[in-house]
Amino acid sequence: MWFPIGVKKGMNDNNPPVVVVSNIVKRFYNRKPGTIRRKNWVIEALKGVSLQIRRGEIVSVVGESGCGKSTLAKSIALLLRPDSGTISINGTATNSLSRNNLNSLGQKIHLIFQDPYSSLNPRLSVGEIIMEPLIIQKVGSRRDRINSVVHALSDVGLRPSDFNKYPHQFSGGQRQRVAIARALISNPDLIIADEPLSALDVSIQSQIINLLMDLKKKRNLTYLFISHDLSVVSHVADKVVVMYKGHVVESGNAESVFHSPLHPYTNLLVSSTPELGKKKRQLCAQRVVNIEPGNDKNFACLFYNHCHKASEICHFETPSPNSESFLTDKHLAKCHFPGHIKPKMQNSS
Amino acid sequence: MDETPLLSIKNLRIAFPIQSADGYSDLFVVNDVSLNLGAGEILAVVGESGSGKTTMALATLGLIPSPGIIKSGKILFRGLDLLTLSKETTRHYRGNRISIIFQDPTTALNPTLTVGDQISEAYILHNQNSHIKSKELVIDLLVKVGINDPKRIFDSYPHQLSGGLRQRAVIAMALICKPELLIADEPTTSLDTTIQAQILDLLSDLQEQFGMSILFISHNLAVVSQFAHKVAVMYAGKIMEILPTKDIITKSIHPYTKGLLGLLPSIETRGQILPTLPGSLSEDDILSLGCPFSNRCPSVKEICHVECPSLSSPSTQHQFACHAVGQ
Repeated sequence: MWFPIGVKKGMNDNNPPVVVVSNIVKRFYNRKPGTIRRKNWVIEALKGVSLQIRRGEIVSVVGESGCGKSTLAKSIALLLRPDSGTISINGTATNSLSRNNLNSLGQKIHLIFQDPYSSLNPRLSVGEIIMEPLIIQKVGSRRDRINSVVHALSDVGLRPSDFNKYPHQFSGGQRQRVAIARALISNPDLIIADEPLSALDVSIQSQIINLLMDLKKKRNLTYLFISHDLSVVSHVADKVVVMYKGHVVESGNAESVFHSPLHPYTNLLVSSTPELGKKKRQLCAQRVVNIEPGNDKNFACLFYNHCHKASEICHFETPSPNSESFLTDKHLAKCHFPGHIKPKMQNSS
Repeated sequence: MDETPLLSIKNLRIAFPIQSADGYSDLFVVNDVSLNLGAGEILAVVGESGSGKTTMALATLGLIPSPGIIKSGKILFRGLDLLTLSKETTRHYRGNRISIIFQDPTTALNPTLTVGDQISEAYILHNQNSHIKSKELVIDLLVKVGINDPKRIFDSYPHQLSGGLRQRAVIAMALICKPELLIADEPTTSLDTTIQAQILDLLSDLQEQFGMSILFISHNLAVVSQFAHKVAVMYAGKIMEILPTKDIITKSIHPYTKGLLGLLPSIETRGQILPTLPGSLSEDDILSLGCPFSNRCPSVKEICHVECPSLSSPSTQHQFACHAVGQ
């Protein structure tokens, strides 16, 4: 068996977490034009998010626009510093690291992006693109690097002769293979794939899914797989983390979350996902009309306006468990009435 | 349902010029397509990129981007060939008798006009002396498309609304003149999952209320299977199969349709290697005189590379174009 440069054998011993995210908060500020320091309004993209990713796991973060999953991905990739909370990579806390040290730690985390067209430098050959991480990390001699790239090309289903071709000579699916080869070449501890299939045709998606799963199995890779497509997630993920407006509302292993969702939002997401052969009207069981941005700043639970179980307690009391409780493999939901639990009948509303 | 179809596309061929060794040649993006859509029917056209589904839909309203050109064929709307109409008459049909909604509601809306003004504009253009009535009608329609506070939305600008609200406004704009045919080109693809489900429900309800026909373009078989009466599967500018949606899982017969159905991931396919369609669509496939799917087809025969199969049994509910599978 051929090993890429830099891999260490026997890393799957105890299955410790590669990534531990503990209660991170991330805010983005808007400044009024013309003023220098005054912060006009704030968006709290992450309101206290915790999760962990174990070695060899595929953890999928799902949620709709505005939930904070991209901000979370960038924070774990060490491209954004959280305003509070901690992120640990392989046991190393990242809070107090300098930019330089952060960058070296970041070399163990690689990304695959959604758009295979803009994520490859059009002026470099495919071989040079895949080789870049090795050059930056100063790994091996030039001959070693070329060898690695040639092997990487076959690993992703391309040919060694593709080394000297340019991205524009490839289709979208093939470019995504190049992006995958680039992400894998230095055998990173974590690969963050941010919607890697969304820009591809359906018939190509299945090829790329098979490739990602095959590589993961052969090399015991660890993925953070971000997607809005629950069908793909249900096939691929070991663990699922559901986000809503900057919070983790549910997390657990994929089969559990999909077969028995605990949080009403997860239930809504799962039932809204179109499925071949599923009768339309079955979906409507608990759909609440018009999920539009409401004024939810005053509610303890942000899903209050759209939840069919919403009760007085949801208005005033933040649902448990707290953020750090999600640092677990158990199936949990942040809700006063998770799963089959129903609120008691109230006189009003 | 009526015997005479509302919309009948006959042998439509649309080409774009591409550079070849000796000057320019034609790349047929829509290659001999024939389809029928009855009154009150929802027909979904499903295909991946390069299938020609959007170009075919745009041709109905004379909206093919240049340098595309319609080489031959007819598009009959209530028996009248839309391709022979003058620009003036086409404008009369557009937005009035045949409406279209696109994938991205943000670019479909004018950012400098309020939502109410834009929807009224569509009404006023097609109905004379209607300034006075239009506001009332628009607000009525905004309620019908599921907007709870129509007066506020009437006076809002597109940038003040979420994606879902914008798409509802676009739908209102398309329906204000009560068209007989609505063309929906991937109307939910850019929306969040939960909003997508709401919009599909809305379109379904509106179809029952207004009785219009819908030509629904999508790349997503699952979405379409819950929504449409009939599905037409397109590949590289050709129709591969047409059948009722309820039969799609059990009775589909074309290797491409079956391939598409087989490769969908779900919780049931966990741990398994997904079936795939090897390779991808290339320009050579589209230019070939044989079946464009032959290079990827698991059931391919010699004749498939040479002669393109035509669509079988035009008078039945289930049609397909394939040499390899039985009639």
